[in-house]
Amino acid sequence: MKEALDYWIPVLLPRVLLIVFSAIILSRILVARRRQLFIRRIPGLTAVDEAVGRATEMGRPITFSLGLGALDIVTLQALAIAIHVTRMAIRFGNRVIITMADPTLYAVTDEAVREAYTVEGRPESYQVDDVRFLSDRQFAYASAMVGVITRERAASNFMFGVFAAEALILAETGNQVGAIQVAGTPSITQIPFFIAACDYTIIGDEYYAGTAYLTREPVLLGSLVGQDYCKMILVGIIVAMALFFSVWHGVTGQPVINDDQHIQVSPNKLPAGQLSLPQQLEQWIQQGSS
Amino acid sequence: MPRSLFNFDWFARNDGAMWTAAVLSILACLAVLAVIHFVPRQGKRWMIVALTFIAGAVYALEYFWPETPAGEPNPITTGTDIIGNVLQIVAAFTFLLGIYNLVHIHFNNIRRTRANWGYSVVFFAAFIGMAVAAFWRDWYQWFGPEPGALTLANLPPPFILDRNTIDDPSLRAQLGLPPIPDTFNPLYASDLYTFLFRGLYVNLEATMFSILAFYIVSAAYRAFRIRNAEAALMMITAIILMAGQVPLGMALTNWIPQEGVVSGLRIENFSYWVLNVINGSVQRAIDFGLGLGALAMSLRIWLSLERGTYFGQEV
Repeated sequence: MKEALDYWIPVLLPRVLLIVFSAIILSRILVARRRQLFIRRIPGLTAVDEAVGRATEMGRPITFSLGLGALDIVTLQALAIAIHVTRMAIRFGNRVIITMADPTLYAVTDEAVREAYTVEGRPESYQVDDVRFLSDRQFAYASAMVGVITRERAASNFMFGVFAAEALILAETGNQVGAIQVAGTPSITQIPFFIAACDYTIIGDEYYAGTAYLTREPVLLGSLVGQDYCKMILVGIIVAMALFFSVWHGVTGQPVINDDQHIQVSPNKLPAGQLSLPQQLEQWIQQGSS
Repeated sequence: MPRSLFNFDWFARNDGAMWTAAVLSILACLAVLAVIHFVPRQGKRWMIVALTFIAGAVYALEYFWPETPAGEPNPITTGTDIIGNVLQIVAAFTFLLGIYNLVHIHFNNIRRTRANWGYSVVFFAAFIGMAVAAFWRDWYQWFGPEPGALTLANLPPPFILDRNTIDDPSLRAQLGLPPIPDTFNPLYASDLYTFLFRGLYVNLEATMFSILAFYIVSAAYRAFRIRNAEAALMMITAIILMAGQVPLGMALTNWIPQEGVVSGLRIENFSYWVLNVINGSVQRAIDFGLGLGALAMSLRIWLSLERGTYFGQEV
């Protein structure tokens, strides 16, 4: 019995949750087709219009970095925002230079941008040079992108997608040329750098709300609302589990998780008798003075 | 036939079946391309929708069909490996597109003598130099005879001999070749490649990475200027975290006992608590949101609900 449970619980739990969440999101999409939904203001995404308008006023191009990602969900979301920005720029008669580090993404982006020009009625304005595959190596890409931002003197710089250590290099370069900068990434470690160096940063699931917010398409708005319902369920599960395990621990006195890792121990806590670094320093000074 | 390019068992048979299969594959690809070319625009959209759904369904089914308690994978897992191989082949073609894009942009820069066109010349020099070094390094492995089949009579010129391909000391002695030198030798193809890659490119990368140190300082200066309550809070938190990492900071609260309730007020413990409890829980919340966002986005793409975002209007 225990063996069967050990097998089926980890197999069933994530799959059932995935099916439930998918069903909720799809049901909200269906509802959204019939009803107007409200979505709160997201400053970073509102700034997209401002950034495109400013670049047009200054008569300078817009740069858009799709980051290091390949053709995956994260980068597809970035591409969706890039296409929205491109369409706006086409209407204003401006250019958007889109760069990427993955050749597969280049092929898709090139086609999507070409189609954006056609949809906006200006297929003749499309320039092949505006979609650029720079390099698939991280710092070679960063170096080339720095060159593009500096040489083109971008008035607005967008950075959406997967970023790593090159994030701050790009953002600081944009800052140096005086570009208005909007960034969004699911790479949590890079969010602080973007917050420090960019005018607007899109954090967490706001990143995936981008196309819904910008286009106000009912389908996309519906999926956003579905996500919020799923979040509420997750919060409920977390609170219920926390209460349950606390009561369990209080009643039985046994740890809920059968390993030592649930006990948070500071790495700076030293075994009895061992001196900490400041204590060692103090001892060393005292020895020196005596 | 190139020796190492086609050393898979199936190709090694080198019989008629291999060539028949290869020719049939190429013909099938051409036929598919022709069909796609002649299908009307709306039909192409439906083809993309159907292909996206089928490909997504394979991966979804592969996930939902669990492996057996004995750890044996489900039968679809093998199929996803094949799809992965197909994707790699498609990606290889797009790499050529990427190279074409680079060459096109830089060639036009030189042809029209645009501003800073000299950098484009540097690009071509680097591109050609690196490609020649890499192909030179691999030429012997691809096209040369088996090392075991070499005799003094058919020994290639020394500049082709590669330290990676004839590295067996006994074989080198048998062929009368000198031992492989430890230091750089321009006579060896792999050394030129290593010289360009490790000696030049890796250092250039390290230079770019080093610039980050200076940018962190300037970004931190702007971020930590106290302009409002949030910036002040961030400044205070940053000071606590930094102080908790260095001996000088730890010395400030060294008088607090290491054990007991008050030990949490020692700066190293307090900074650890801030990092792991406050910051950790917020990061987890962000992760939950990102996960759900990715799920919703995947569903929209799988069911082609977001197609209007990229190509024309929704089907």
